Amino acid sequence: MENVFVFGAEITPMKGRYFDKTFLGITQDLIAAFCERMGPWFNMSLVDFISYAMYNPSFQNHFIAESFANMVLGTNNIECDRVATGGQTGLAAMTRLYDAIRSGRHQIGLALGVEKCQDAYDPLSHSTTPMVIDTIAASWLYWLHDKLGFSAAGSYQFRINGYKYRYPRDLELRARALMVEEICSHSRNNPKAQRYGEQVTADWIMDSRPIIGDTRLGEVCVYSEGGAVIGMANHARAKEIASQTGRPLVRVAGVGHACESTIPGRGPQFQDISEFRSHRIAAERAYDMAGIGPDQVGVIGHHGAFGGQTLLSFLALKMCQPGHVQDIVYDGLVVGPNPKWVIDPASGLYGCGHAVGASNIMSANEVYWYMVENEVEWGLVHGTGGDGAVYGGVQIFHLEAA
Amino acid sequence: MYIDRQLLEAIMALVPELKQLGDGIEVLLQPRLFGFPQMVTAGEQSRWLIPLLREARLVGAQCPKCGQVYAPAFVAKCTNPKCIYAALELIDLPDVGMAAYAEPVITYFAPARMHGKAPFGFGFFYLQDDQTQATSAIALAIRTTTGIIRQGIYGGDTPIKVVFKRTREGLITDVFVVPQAELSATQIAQSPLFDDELDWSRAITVPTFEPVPEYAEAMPSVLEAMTRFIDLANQSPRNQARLAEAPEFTANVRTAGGDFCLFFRDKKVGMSHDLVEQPSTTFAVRDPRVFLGWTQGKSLTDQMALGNLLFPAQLDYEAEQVEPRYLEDLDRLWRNEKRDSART
Repeated sequence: MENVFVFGAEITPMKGRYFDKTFLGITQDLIAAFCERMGPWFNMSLVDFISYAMYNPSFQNHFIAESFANMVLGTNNIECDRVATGGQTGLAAMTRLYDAIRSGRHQIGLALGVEKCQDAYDPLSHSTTPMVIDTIAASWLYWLHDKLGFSAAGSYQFRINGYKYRYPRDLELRARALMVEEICSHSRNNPKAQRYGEQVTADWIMDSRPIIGDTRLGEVCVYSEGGAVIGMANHARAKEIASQTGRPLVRVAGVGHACESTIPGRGPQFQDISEFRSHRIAAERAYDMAGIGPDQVGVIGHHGAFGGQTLLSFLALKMCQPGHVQDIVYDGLVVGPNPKWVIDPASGLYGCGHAVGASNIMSANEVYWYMVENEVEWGLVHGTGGDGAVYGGVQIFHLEAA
Repeated sequence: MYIDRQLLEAIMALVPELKQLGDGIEVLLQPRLFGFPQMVTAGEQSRWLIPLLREARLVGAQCPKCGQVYAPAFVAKCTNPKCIYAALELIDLPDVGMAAYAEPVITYFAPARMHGKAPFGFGFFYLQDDQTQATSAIALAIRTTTGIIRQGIYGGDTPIKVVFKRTREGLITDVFVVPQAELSATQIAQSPLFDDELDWSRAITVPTFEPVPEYAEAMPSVLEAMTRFIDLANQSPRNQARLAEAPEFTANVRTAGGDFCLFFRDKKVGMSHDLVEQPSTTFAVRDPRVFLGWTQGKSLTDQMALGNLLFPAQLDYEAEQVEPRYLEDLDRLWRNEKRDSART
């Protein structure tokens, strides 16, 4: 089996709405930018596999949208497919790509995510977000949950409430607000961030109106339109590419995924609402494969949609203990000038944006470049999605010695 | 209601339009209905939907091998890997139980299909009595006879009673739960218990308050701060754009320090010291200093969530609860003004 290496990554500017682009236009812009970043020697004829990450056909207003994205890239007769696992779509596409190269069936490939989330428009509220939420709600079982008003926020909030039933003093609003403030502050270094130039303070977050449960507007990620791409290759091709780019090799050292039941219950095949168990299992699988633990990781790109879910994701990644999750914020381990773990160095979903299917690839982009530019040995990409965050996924990157 | 006709009509009324993006660039906005009216089968789900529709009865399914009980009977075969998809047997479910160790979730910002329904809530519950204990938790809507749904009514293990709508459609929303603490022993024991057998009088009335001297003393400064803030808010370009589309309303506000009226009218937010005879709604807030906080960026929706800001609950299942939208629009004013003044 082949070792697999990341050789490049790029994103488009993330925007609230690309009025001037369909998903076709964003796809072309993304790959044009990727080619530019790779250098004049690079072109798409070198790529022999693409896994497209597009979560919801309603966003693109087309089924099998990836076939049309493939058409506008000119990658005729390439092997490609599309992966959709809710918010974990990007990471799932990355793993599909990883497996395709590791198996030896392909040498160079891309995981490419594009999303037009905000083209949904609610004519009753004269805005887009309520319909975006509704579009996502097609992910819930019609007979059991849809009519009750389930939403991504609601299903994640229920898991948070399950944790807080056991640990009522944990996940304080102030800790959540400080974490989101920190992540959003990273957008100052990312001109492509949707919230570039916007100052988000913990005080404003705490004062902002609740949207669901005790989750505030200020601790919710933004929905975005845009794209993200990551390239992977086997060792031989990665070395050739590295000789052109001058960048070090970054190996995909660990991969882990799990999907738990969407129904809470008391039997072994039901969901435990008090923890993101699938995330923990995915992390354990990835750590085992990489041969490391959380203490070795220096930078994390996580799927952070809501403040409480962000902190619980850190628990799942084994960065802290149950009942003491907020301590890693108060103790400066994830915030402040010298954190143990740098979280979302380019501002992640809260600051850069959440183009749903592309987001984990966006997170991988910020992890990859942070590792390369700051010589950080180990990086981790986390993804989640689905009803109540049932999908958990982790990939671990290793910056190889020269 | 299966199809939101209001939403459908609003979508059907859309026509293509040109949008100017600046720099001479224009794009075409086109209406699309991504989804098709269909008559789909509920298949095996009918095994519990039809008894719900016809008989106001909740049906579960039990595995003859492992004994696990699925609530409702949403699967026909057991999902326990050891049972190798044994066929489940239908059973009647208890209509009492408890929250499944997680506080039910209340939504304040509604998705499009729930337009006008916020605040609304749902939770997962274990239906159980002395004879039967469900293994899977069932998701059900939560309500309270004490008013709008808000924090503090339900906890992570609140005992509940399932209540059936008198008029049902064959949907999971044909039932909801209320806390057993709001019911008499007779009501808890009655099976089925119907929605029109509950006392909803508290839900539709808004409290009046005995004057509190401390609040009356604070009232002039509250009103002064509101007047200043409203003046600034109306000057904000972001607010002007938003108010141009926001629904107009007039809300009488009753506090224990004095009363006033808040309104959106003629694309402006305004306040008057006199109450109007036929307001859109009435807000009851005991402590008027809540509105001082509002002028400083604190959220009125938060006060609604905490139960400090009350208004009549809408009991008609099809009608719109308009107040959360008003509060959201009021909450947006401060940040919009701040962002505009920061830019200048």
